[in-house]
Amino acid sequence: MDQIFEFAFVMESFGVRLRIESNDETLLADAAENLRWAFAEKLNIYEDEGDASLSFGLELKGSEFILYRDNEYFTKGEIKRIFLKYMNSVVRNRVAEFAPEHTFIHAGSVGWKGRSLIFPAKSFKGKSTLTSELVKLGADYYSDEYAVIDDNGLNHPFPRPLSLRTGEGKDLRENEVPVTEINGVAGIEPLPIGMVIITEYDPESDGDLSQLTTGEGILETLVHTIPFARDPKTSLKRLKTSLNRAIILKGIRGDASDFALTVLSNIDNNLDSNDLDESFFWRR
Amino acid sequence: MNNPQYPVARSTNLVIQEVPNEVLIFDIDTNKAHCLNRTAALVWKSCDGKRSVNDIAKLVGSETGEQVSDDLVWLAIDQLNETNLLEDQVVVDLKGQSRRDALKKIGLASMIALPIVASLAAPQNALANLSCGCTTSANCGTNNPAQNCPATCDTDIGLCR
Repeated sequence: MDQIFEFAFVMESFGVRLRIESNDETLLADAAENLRWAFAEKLNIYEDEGDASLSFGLELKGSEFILYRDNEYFTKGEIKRIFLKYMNSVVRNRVAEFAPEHTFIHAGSVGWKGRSLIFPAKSFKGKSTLTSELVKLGADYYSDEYAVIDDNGLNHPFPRPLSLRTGEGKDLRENEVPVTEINGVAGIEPLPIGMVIITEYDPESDGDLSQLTTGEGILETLVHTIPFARDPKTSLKRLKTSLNRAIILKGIRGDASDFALTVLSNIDNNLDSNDLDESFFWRR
Repeated sequence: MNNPQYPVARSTNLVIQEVPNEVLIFDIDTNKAHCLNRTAALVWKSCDGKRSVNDIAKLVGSETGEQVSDDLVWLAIDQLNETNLLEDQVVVDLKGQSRRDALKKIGLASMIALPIVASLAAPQNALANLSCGCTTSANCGTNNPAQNCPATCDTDIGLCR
């Protein structure tokens, strides 16, 4: 991929090398800081190298910020902070798509008693809220964005600051919150997946979940699997390996803090039986 | 055109992953993923173009240890037709019964699970799961690569809503 702007660095994360380039040195430096913050320790930046097969270009043109992906126009914006935030999410998405040794699932993820719990969902479905509630109860923070699985079915941490939204309508705000600010701890070790919870939030609901078979669970999860379109074979294989022994639940949940407590209590009460409390979960 | 009594399972442009008692299939042509339960999977795997529906019923019966009727196989084939998992469409012969009536009748009589093929559209690209963010009002709604993105942009926080 040819470099089109004067200033550049190469970043590497999960085996994906991307060149970030700009016509403005300050904008590039801000982009690097922004990426370091979001990728936490999962990022290496090489300032003296320019060789990478994937690239993002950041152009400052008058008062406009223009984003290019692999030298093609992608989007533009007028507020630097918002532009960099969006650039960051697109870069993370690119890493998630091309990571050679890992498959990224759009999901919240925590660790509990040697297993990880993941919650695949689209944006605005409460992943971060549920993740933060579980972390407040003592679960290790893995990610509020991606579950990252390898060939052995282990889920790796991707512990970016939690993206917590507060308020509604005009008062809606989004804050990037380090896990330590909610008194949480980031997980370090990759863990096997013990539970998959596919839910939507309904404030009127007390919780209504049913258990899926492994195949049904994989079907529901692949919709949230980032590289699926590019590499369905590897994605399916890793999904099978990682979900093979997991309990997979789908349905409606109510309040995140109540639900988080119920989930952890059920797991604690049934750690040895690989079964869940019938009083909460309808099983077939 | 194959003889409809001798259905053939499709084998091209499919990504297949077996899990215990189920088969997952991704159809590259339609971008759809399917989960076949054990009964549907047994029928699908038995569709080799040499076995009749009656042969398939016997084979599935021997695999499951239960009596399996031709109607149950037809129900599976009906779903395999709908999901394009057979080489050629097969005219389903439920002997004049509607699918619902056949399901009810077979469900009551059958000792094995009814065939089920669950399907979902797979994401068409990696951006389908991108958070719905925006940098100007021009890139919310249908201009945003994220699915189901609202049309209005709040540039203060960088979210479409």
